[in-house]
Amino acid sequence: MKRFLCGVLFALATVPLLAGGIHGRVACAGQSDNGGAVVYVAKVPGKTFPPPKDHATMDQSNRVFLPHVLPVLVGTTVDFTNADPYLHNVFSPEACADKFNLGTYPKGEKRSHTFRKECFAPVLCIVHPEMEAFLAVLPTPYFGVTKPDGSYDVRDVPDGSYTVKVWHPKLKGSEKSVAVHGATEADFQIAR
Amino acid sequence: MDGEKDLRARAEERSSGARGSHWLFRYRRLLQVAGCVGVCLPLAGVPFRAAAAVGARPSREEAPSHVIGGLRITPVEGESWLRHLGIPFVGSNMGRVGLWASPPLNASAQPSSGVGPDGEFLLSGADLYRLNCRSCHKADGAGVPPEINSLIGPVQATSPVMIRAQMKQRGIELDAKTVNKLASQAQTALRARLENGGVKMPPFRHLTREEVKALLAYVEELAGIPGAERKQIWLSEPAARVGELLIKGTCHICHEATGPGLAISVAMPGAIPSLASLPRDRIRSEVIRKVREGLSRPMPMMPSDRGEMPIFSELEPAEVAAAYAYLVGYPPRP
Repeated sequence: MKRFLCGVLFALATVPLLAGGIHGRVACAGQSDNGGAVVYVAKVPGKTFPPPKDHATMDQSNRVFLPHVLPVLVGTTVDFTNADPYLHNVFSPEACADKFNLGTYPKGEKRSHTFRKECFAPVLCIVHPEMEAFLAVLPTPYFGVTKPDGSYDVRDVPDGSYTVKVWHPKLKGSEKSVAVHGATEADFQIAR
Repeated sequence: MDGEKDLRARAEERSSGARGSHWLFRYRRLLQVAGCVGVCLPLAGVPFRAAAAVGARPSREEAPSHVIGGLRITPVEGESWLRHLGIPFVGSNMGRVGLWASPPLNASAQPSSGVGPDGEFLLSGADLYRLNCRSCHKADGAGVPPEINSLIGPVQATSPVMIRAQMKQRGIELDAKTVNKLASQAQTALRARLENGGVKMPPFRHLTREEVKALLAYVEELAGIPGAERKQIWLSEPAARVGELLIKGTCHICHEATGPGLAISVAMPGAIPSLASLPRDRIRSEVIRKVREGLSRPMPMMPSDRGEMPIFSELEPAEVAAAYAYLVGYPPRP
């Protein structure tokens, strides 16, 4: 019985490691930490991805966009909420993001935009110039964002060979070919 | 360094301009005419009209003048704004931070325009800010975040020049259409905030269009928007209106319109006497001293015990006297 239970526990513990995906670390040279880099599969040959029905959310709280970097699949609608007791304005100057401008709105209100093109777009608030965030609109749903320690996890990637890219708001991107077989490790280094 | 020199030179220029000008008296004739309309009609229970002098500082003596739309003085009524919000007086900075900062150098450090020979006040945007906004947003407009928001950012957002400059700092070039759209949205939002209030800010619906115009021109100057000094306007308004602005814009934040008077302060330390009780319980000179210099409350525990009321030395005696007269002439309502 004990052996059986140990076996079950071992199986449960190892399932996440065996599930398909890419994980590793991104070293961001010259930055205070290694967070905020987007790691994503650039293309899955012969496969397209319909726009997700679920909306993504970017909140504004204490004059900070949360999250600071939000990766989404092309076609995703992002809800921009305002949790602050004052007005915020949300807009982007990027043409690939339709130069969207949601206007100025108060606490509790939510305004949305659907991102239909691949894009890396800054998101700004004209009322609070110190506020800035980034939308990464990506061609596949296989993406992850690095934590401050540089670690990332791109889940549920089918086995195969892919070009994996890294994008960072301030640093030059990077890419490499990765052959995914189950849980696969890939590390990156990026700099200015 | 050059910028600093520029600022100093501008400040000195303004300062000497203010000292050397006798613009109030140069407009005496205008004020006399406007004063007849402004003072006599409200006494007869008819909405009065005020006069506006519009001009570009520093040459405001040369500014053209015109009569602006009518407005009506109404009594202050209802609960204090703090009671409306359910916030205790001791737990809030609202209404009590007017002396926490000085106006920045880029804003006109104007003294009150004062009273003309005919009893009319000549109000600048800076005066309107002092009567309506300063006790919460401070003299520099920075407020006391997170309770009281700064108005600098929302005001700067109304300026295409500031938007372009801010975006340029980020390395972003915005096209004119986008810039103008953003500025226009911010302008609409700012006016709506003034009209409707916010989560904690009271609405200022009683301000006239011309008063809003003067006020916004001043806060633009406060926010450092280039060219704002040329948009300043001056309004000739009767004392009762000045009193109304001060009472509604500042005093009513903490004081109920009606209710117990000074006796409540004796019975319950920390309790705030109502506005209606002030002319009843104190003579005018006492109120002026209490407001501008502080004054011991009745039966103080210590000789220096002047209670919790902040000092409003930024107000002129004539303005406090106008508020007193307004409370007498327009008795507060429950």
